[in-house]
Amino acid sequence: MKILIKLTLYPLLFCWSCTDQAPKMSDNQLVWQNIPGRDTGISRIRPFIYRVKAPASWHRQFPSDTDSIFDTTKPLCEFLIKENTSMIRITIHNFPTDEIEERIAPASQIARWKRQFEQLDEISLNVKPIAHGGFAGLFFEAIGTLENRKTKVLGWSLQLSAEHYRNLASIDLSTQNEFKQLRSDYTIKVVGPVELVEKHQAILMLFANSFELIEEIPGRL
Amino acid sequence: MKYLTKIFHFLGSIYFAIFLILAAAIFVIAGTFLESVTESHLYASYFTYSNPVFIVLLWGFFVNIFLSTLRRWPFKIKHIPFIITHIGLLMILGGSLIKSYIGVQGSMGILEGGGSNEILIPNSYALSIEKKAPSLKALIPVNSSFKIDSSLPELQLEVVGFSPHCIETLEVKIEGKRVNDVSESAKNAYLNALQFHLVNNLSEKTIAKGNLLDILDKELSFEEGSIKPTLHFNYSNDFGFNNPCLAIDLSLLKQKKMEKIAIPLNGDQSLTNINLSSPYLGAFPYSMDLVRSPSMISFKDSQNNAYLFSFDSHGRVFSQVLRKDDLTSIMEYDHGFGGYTVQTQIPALSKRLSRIELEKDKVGTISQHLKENLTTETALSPPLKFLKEACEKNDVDFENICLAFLREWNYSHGWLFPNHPIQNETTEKVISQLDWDTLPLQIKNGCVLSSHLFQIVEENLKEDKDLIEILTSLDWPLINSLKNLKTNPGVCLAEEMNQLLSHLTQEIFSVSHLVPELTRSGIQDGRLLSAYLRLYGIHWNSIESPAPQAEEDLLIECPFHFRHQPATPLLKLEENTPMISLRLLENGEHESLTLSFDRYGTGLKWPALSGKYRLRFQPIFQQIPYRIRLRQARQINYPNSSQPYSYESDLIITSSNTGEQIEKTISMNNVYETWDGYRFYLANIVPADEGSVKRVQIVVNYDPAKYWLTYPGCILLVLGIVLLFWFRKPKNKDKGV
Repeated sequence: MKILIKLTLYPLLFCWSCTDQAPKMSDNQLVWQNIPGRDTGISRIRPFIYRVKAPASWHRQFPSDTDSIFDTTKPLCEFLIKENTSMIRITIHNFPTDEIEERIAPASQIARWKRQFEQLDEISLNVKPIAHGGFAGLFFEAIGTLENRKTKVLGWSLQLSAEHYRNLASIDLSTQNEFKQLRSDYTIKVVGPVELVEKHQAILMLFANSFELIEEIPGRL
Repeated sequence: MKYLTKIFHFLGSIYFAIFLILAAAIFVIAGTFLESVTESHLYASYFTYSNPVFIVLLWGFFVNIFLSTLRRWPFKIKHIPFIITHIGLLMILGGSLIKSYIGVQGSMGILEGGGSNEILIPNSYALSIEKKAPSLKALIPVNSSFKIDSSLPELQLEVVGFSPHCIETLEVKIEGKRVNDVSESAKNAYLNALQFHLVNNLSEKTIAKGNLLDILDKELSFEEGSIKPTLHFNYSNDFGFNNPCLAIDLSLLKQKKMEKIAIPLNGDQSLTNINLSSPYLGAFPYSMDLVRSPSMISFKDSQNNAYLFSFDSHGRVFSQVLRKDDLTSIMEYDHGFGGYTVQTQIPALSKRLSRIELEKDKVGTISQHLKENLTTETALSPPLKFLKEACEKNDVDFENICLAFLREWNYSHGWLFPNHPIQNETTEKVISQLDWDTLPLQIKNGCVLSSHLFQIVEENLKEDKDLIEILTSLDWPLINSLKNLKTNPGVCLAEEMNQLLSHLTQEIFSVSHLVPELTRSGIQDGRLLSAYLRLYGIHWNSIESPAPQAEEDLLIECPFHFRHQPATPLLKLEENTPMISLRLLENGEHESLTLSFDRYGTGLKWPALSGKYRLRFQPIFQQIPYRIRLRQARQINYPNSSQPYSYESDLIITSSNTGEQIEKTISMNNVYETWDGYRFYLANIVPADEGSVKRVQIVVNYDPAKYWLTYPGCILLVLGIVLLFWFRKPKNKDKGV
């Protein structure tokens, strides 16, 4: 009897609860990096609005401090992944608006990216809805010819949820520009050679999935 | 002393333990039974687990175990397993009792991107009060006797009434006649003083007019036939207007077939007289217009929901409903201190266009569009080029002539233009000067053949005969190709007639070169031109209408509030909506206010004392020393299936005490526990689809005694049980069998 009890108890003492959470691939390689929003065109002050997790090995480029990026065609920030002679370019834009009705629908951004291809491989086209961090929109993936080269494009076009948009309106913020920047839509676009983009695709997805506002969005009080 | 000893031994005895076990079993059975009958866990809980008697039972267990241990005094070595076991049990019970008194269980609802450090305590009541100036916020608990224990400086609050359940109705500050049947009342109001005008489309003259109500579902005769209108108001309280229209049965003397017309009363095609029975032949020569004084009217139903109707001067209808559970656009005055209004939009009634004005607008827009496009080198189709040459010869605007001809043709109700002169003299003059000799033989013959064949086809179609039957009787040689185009084995459907007639036209032109040149005498040039235009699919209906111009809307704001009436509580306690009546007094100003329970504390706060305060009756929110930020929530499905496999949430948990921040993913079977006894479970994610921003419910459990009492007690209990078996005396092996 004593032996039976020992044989039952001893293994139990060394049992730990199994976690069903698989370790995230390459999560530890990513570090938080802050991304500023746009200036007002008059002042060059760019408030830090966003943050994203990116590998330290990626080369980050910000626009010059003396240049205004009030124009929404200019990116907030770029990341470059260089491998030999090939390069992946990741650009981040945001689109501040004064009213919710002025926002550009994510589908319109997707349509614009599709039109940029000289020739698009329809079979590779993948558009699906996504949401995270209080933003919702569309993810775009396609292969085609850009500037006579076979290129893969990944794109994320997201908008702040209507509820957050309204809640931010009732909160007093330090500056009007900061308020506009917080409510902006944003896009992340990845362009590069097909093989290189597919090689880094998992990290790129983690990167985009980590993109969020630095401060949590206040709820209605 | 003797009695005390007896009590001491009884309380520590097996008999008392058995009594306690039986009593607890009865409570558990009762709880299970009550929950299954009432479908209410709360109901069962009030009578069992949360009942003070059950807590007394737990204390009874504690006392029994404690005293049964003490009864072994003085302790010996052999008592060690027993004592360890009982100490373990006491620690577990102690932990449960401590948790029941100072532990916390609540939930927090967080939207992706947001965060919270407050948990909602279920089955608790409080008043959230906010003062405008100086700014002040407070959450005042309302105890189980519905008394308020504290208040704000200067403000005196008193609970003057409470009901465990109430019915809440919306009160919109808009006058409205209370009616039983909103749809019928609105229809009657619409028909009141609504006039009809039957108009000849080409001469634009009114050939009959009167009250529409007088001729509804009755026949009205006029020179060329008769009409019978029927109103389909199609309004429901839940869905509003669903394609309301005026349907007209039209009988023309020169044809046997009864025609059907529909006049939509709202939408992009409103007021257009749509030919339903023979759309392939274009519109009818007559149209019906509606005329009335523009008006706006409101009704209220028995639930106090308000229904707004507006009718413009041309008979269009519009509705808007202001319903308690459907207030889509709420505005607050002065951050809610000034009250709330619901906003709704209705069309500016005085600025809507009539049918004729809309048509003129369409003609003008198309003409302008044509002019702009013809300034460039645009390839016109051959029949239009042919007409343009004639217009240039006569020095008239091609666009105007073309549109005037197409319009008159459309209203002549025929596949081709009728064989009579065009009513518009300028157009007739231009078209009569078309130089047919410049066209190839195939085209000339095709126009002539089409004119003759369609004369017979149109006459028979208006006698309600089937197209295939007509062509069979004419021994049309290419009839099999038309039969192959049909989708319906029986008679030709109205929807497929346009395609069949177009194909027939193509067939005629494809064989017309096989015959010698045919004479055009006896056939009007307009008819011949229409055949040529049909070959290229050109008709008034083939012109894309310009997008309707955005019309001005009026914005109406209606202040609203909720009215509460006590009601019989429901058996399922979770579905009850308690109500509280308050009396507020400050500096001589007083007000009575009734509030219903806001279950999640996210609803509107109501103004009081002339907007100095805002109040909400809600659960207690308790702060915890951790801030939870929700980054993302997701549902994970089984592969190739929409069945959920798991739910996960990515959180950032920040300790308010140490500032330490960790990132953690919690899921259905993976909770997060802090060192000080807080446990976070993922309870719910809505909505589950990938493309929406999600709201999660996280259940937070705080057991302060878990790590130092309950868990060590469990270890001791297990150890004690093991030792009890280990040190059990073996049976005497020397005793005989």
